[in-house]
Amino acid sequence: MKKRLLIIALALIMVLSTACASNPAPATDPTTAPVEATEAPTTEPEATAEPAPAEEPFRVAILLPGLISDAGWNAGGYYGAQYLNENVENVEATYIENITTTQAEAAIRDYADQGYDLIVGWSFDMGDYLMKVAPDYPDTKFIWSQGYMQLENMATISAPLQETAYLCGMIAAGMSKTGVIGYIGGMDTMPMIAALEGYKEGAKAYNPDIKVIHAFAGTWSDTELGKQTAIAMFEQGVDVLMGRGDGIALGCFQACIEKGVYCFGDVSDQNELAPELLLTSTGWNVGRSIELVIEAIRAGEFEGKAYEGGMALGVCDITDFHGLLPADLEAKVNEVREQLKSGELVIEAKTEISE
Amino acid sequence: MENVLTTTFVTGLLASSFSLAIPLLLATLGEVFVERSGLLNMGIEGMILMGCFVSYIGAVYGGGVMMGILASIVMGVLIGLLMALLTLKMHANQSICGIVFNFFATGATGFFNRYIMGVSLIPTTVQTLQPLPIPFLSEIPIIGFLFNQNIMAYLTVILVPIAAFLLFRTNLGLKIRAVGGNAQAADTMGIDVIKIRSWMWIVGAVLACLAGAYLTLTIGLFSDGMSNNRGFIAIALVVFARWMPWNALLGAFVFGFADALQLRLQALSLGIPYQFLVMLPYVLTIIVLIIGASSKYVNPSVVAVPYVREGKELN
Repeated sequence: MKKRLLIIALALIMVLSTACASNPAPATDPTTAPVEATEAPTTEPEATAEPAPAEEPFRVAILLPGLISDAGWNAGGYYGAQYLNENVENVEATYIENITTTQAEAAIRDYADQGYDLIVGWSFDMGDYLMKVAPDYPDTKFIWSQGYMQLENMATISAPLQETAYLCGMIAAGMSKTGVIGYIGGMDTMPMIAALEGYKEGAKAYNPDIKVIHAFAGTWSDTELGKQTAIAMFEQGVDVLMGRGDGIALGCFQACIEKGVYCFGDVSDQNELAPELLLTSTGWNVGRSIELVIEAIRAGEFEGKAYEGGMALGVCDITDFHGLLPADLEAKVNEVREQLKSGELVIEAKTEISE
Repeated sequence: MENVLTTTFVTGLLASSFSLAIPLLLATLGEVFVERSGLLNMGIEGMILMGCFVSYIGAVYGGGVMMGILASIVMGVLIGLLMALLTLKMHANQSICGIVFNFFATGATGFFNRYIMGVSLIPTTVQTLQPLPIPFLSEIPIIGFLFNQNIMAYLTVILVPIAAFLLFRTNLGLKIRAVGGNAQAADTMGIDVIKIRSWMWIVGAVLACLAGAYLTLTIGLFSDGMSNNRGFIAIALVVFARWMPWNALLGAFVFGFADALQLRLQALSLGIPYQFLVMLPYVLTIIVLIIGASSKYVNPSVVAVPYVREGKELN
């Protein structure tokens, strides 16, 4: 009997620790986000006096497909929630991690039942479930990140990753000595393809003879596979590489450091990972993307449409070059960057891989 | 196609196969010992992941790869003892314990990684294992890469003959195989079944954790779920290897080869859908298992069957 109890106790401990990692309550998170989440809306109104203290905060829930410690996609979503809490008036943003497709529907319904004003599915995979749940909650607004279908109360947002990738493509073509540059993605999802095509276009715009080769690892997490994929590319003469997607990107960095190949960071300025080799990083302010939708809702102008938010709206940009680019290349890239920001140059998001 | 038959391509392919094979080989060797003694370690995936994580933490706070390796060994011993306690002392179902351990490891590594390292957009990197080229030998064309490996890779390869010798040429090996062949008969002959099996749990867990340490210490950082199901491949490879260390070396290399090849085929831009290529190593595993199933090799007959002395009550 005692043994049985011990087994049960041990099993319980195991189950509990599993639950910890995907705990829906942000209160258990060791970071400071929840504290700010509750404080920000209460301190703000006094200073501005515009929203009455009694006014309910606008509640946003962001559903993340993975863990926020991935230094990539999910971290971007997490910092998006942070941004909303800190920079947007009377908004209370929360997030939940590790929502796989099997849990997505239940999680979306749960937040809708709790009366959240805006529910963001931060993954292309969540589309089916958002499409299913959204019609049942007409008063709630939904966002499908990277989606391609809309409903009356569901909009889509996408950061034109192709714009920043376009600039990286230019830089890659400018820095390459072999005339071959590479792109590695986790899986062939639409944002990955859009970025790949933008990268190609930028490279071809700079040097029409450049050869761009690409590969997908078929997973987001396998760092070793990411590294080996990168090495396979170097054998084909690749001397500037863009690796994207969580663990895959991290593996690519390591390969680039070992072989001295130029690379690009993602989400934030990651230059310190490889100070001599990381030419620039592509950034996407997720919070700003969501803020644009919130602004529309508050103005009563919300529509079930695709909310674009490119470099022109301050959603995306590339970070510092850390003095790694020759002056003429830097000038050229900055010139195109200004064109993108002013809307003079528009890069279409492609959904299929070209030859 | 002219790109395929170049020296760079072949050398790169073999070297990459080898790198991908090392962690698989470590885990597979551990599982060979485990199954030879009549146990089944389904938790090998979780153990690799735990190894990845503790070696990272060890390297971050201990300040070097050696501390990372040491941490993973300590973790392996602890996990082995836990599994021995659960399955041998309390007679909990081995398969279930293993599967539960996989879930546990996913949660525990994710949680503690966050708790210890926090959330950051720039991961903390640690020192990586440096290659130790052997003079002259590492200059040989094509196979020179074999002599330009890091310390863990050398030791892993040396472990193969050691494991084969231990299992088939020593008294201890005979005991291990006896326990896995017929536990009751072995017990009658005075072999301590529980003790042997406890040790095998520890050996299996330590080697799995070292496989994890290899993954972490060649990349220099930890990423959630980075073991990416290598543990399950290792379980399949043991069957392919027919519980033989030398075959395990072959099996791990074949799997690594398939993976390294598909990556290169992608890089050649042949226009084959990448999903098809990514699938290749796994298809190969299934084919190999089908071939293996029809062979007449002697398998450990009591894998996953708990041993209870007659007259003793279960639980």
